[in-house]
Amino acid sequence: MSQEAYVDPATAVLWDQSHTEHDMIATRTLGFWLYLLSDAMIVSSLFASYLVLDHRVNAAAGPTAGDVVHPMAAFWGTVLLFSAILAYGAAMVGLKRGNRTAVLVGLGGAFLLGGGFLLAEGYDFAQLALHGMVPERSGYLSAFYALVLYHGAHLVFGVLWIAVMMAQVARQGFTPNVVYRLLNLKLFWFFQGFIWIYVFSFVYLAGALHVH
Amino acid sequence: MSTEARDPLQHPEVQLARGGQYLGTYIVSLLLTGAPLWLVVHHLGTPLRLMIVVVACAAALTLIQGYFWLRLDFSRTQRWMTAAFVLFIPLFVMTIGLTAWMFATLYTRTMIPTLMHAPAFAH
Amino acid sequence: MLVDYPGPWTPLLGRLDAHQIPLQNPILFWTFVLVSLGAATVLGAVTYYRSWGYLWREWLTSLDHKRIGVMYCLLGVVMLFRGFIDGVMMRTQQVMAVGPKSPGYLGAVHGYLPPYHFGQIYSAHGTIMILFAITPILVGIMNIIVPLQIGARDMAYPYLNAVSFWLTAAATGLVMISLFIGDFSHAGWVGLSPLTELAYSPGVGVDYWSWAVQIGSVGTTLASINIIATIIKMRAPGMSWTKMPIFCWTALSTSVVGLSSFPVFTAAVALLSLDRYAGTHFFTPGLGGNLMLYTDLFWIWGHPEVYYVVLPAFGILSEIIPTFSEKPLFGYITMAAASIAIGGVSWSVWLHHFFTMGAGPGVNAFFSIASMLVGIPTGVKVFNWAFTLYRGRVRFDVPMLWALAALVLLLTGGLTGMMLAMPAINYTVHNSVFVVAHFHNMLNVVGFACFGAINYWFPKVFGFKLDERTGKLAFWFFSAGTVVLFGSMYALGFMGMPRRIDYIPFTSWRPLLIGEEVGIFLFLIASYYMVKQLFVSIRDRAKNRVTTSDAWGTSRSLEWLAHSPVPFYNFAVQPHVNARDEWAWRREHGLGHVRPDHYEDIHLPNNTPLPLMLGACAFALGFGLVWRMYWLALVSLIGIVIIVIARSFQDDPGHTLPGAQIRQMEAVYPDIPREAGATGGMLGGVVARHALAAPRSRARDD
Repeated sequence: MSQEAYVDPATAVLWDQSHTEHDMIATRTLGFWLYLLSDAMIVSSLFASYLVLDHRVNAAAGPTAGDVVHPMAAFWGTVLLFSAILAYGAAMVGLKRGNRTAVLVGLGGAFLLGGGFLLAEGYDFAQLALHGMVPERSGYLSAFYALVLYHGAHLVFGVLWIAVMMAQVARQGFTPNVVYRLLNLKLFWFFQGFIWIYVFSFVYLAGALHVH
Repeated sequence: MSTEARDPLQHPEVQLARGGQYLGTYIVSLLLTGAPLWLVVHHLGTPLRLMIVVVACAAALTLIQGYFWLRLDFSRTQRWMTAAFVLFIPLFVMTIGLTAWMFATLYTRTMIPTLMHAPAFAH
Repeated sequence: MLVDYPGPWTPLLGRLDAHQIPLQNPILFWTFVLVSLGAATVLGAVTYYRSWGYLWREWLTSLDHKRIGVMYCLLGVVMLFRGFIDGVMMRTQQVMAVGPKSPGYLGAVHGYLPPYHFGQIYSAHGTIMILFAITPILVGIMNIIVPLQIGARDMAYPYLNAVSFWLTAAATGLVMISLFIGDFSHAGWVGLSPLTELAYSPGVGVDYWSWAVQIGSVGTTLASINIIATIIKMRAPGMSWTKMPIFCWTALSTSVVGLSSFPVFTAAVALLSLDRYAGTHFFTPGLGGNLMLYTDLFWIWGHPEVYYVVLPAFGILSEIIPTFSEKPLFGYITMAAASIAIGGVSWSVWLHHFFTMGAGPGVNAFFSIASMLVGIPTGVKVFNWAFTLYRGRVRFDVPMLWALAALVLLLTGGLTGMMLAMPAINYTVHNSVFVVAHFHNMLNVVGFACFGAINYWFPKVFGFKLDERTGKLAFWFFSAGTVVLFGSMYALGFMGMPRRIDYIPFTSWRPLLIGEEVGIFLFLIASYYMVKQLFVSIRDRAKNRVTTSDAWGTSRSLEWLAHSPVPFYNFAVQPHVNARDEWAWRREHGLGHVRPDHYEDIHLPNNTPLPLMLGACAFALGFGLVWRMYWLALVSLIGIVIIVIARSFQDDPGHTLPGAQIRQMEAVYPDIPREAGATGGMLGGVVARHALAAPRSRARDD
């Protein structure tokens, strides 16, 4: 078996007196990224459910994907969401330069654009509900709402978090804790765009295609 | 472990931000979602071909946003995140793919295809 | 949006009213009386000894990974006992209700449990044993041992660690309170769909089950994140990946499995809850639901979960066997690789739980082959342990006995698992007690490893060993019980006995059912000896006191370099790792007693009651949702959000322990060569800060 390199016990270092501190910020962002990946497993399960239930039988003689999704409307949502991410990116550039105003403006932009996405999505769902397309109607609609609203719920949470971070940046400045939270929120916010790619492609575009 | 920066703004993960790349990715993202949308809305192609385009655009966007927005690369600060993400990809694929596969065979082997063609379910 | 269900509802109490307290059921009534008396005794004792402050400061608000680990283990052991009593009740019912002439008591036609009550008992037994007994014990052991083995001062996120624990505790509280308010799910621990749907289970039982497992699985997911980040980021200088102890490797692999699979479980049960609360149709038989989808999602989690519990058990065996063989572990690299491989393969086998669903032969073949592949890394591990034993100086201390028996059980359990991996055999024995015997056999491997681990690491945490004689008695009775009970169950499985039945029509099965009952009484005797072992050990702790850091004299990994009991700061100075078995290397080169020449300040997090409050809110949220007291659910949800935000504004700076004070504290340890051998720490160990402040408790022990 692989033998280890020989360490001379007479000269070996036994205690680490160099007082190394581990990198707090990197540890926090790694853990948060792991959380995001586990959250992505929930999204995967919802996608799996959607794929199984996106079937004429599961529509229970009710509307199918072609009737429910409106890719054009979803595209305006896409524009808003990606713009919200870009605004957060601007805040990150501001953070790099230590410019508090730029960070606050970027966060504010992300807040407004994220909120805009939510309003657009809410309007879209209200229209669906007015046409009787509610989650209780069929297995297909249940899966559709669960998947899209799960993403929406994340954005609600993200918008709330952005508001909290604006308060913290304004009050506390760039302390290590505020900085790691801004970095975690960056991962969170960017990741929602990532997931939206799949929701847009496989729910809205594929739904409009009727390939099932 | 020795990347101890007293000033949190000097932390390598803060220094990753690149305005130009963010903006470029934004434009490419809109193009790669807008283009398949345009094709789909105008029915430019068979459903299968369009689906391939949609999948290809989504895959390309995954790489582009993953690299330029989420900074999933092999630099010292980011490699654990990249490793974790890469290790999760098979799990996403298995959760969705194997589930889809088993239910496709299940639906084929049980009475559901017959139901599909029954008049009551025709659209 | 909110669905209708039968029965009254009031805005204030939801579905809850006085009739939901099952006083008319004598079994539950007397359980209630006993539990209340027990709780009153414990609370009274705490008050009498004026220990509330101690409990609050040193345990309930603690962020110390060892304290949290001990609380995890305690919670798990209590729930293990609860689940065991459920097992006793099921065995007794089945042995009584054989044949049409068997008498009935307490309102049952046969035996003493009506079918609905029997259904609740097996559901509670499974849910508790997997999620609220074995999982907390293993998470607790990982919590205590992983940071010590990698030479860290705490977990990567001490606060999150406490949050995970209190979420698990909240979930456990929901399961326990369902005994006395309302009822529990009767749909099996897997939540048999569509029996779990509101139309077929209109009561609150399924809701108790679903909210408890959802809260618990959030806790476990967070714990997994913590362990992964700890292992990646917090290893002591010099500890490269190939120098990391095997237990840490298995902890890493198991946490990856937990991190990736528990969310799927949360999703599956959350969708079920949507069906029950919002009237959606994910798993309903009508209106486009697909009930096999639930089964699929459940087992996407369910099978990796099996490996989630078995991998740390393998890690424990890999620590115990070398220590008591007085040899290094054979095949370190293959052992680490096998740990990761098992975690990986575990992800592609889940359909073998429902081969009979009717998926295509290609699908069944894929999952069958994948299931058999698990045997390869597991086989590698078994051979490595065997070669570790080969030509070793094997000692039969209590931990080693548990470990060796676990190997035997792993062999039988593994081979029956191979049988079940073949679809042809699986179709015949599906839903028979053969399957039940198989997975109890495997979970007994985990149980044996846990008992071994508790015996093995107890002196590290508390500073004294557990009693040898009673420990051995407990081991032998437990092993005998395992063989008798599950041997009979395997045979009954071959005879075609289905699982989950409250009445057995064939009198020819009676002898084997009596065998099972004998087995469970052997378990009962074993559990008596386990309690006695704890009692005797605490009573004679002065005699069993460990005076060196290395309690067993031949142990190998880094945790044995820390003092016994481990002080709250773990290592006064971070050790530098030079070898794979660092402690064995230091001992063999005569460096075991070399202590650092000077001490530096240590930075530690402050205690905080917020995790406890989060747990309380999670409990209230679950309780409010179960009884559909929507105001309570809303209030506790807002409470959770407020606590999380408040914590982020708090910016807890922690506190610094000056080097001079550490020197003073280090001096009390007897493993440092000096004359006075006073040991710090009163009962409850993990050397408490207050024990050092109050010399009174030390004097009493000496």
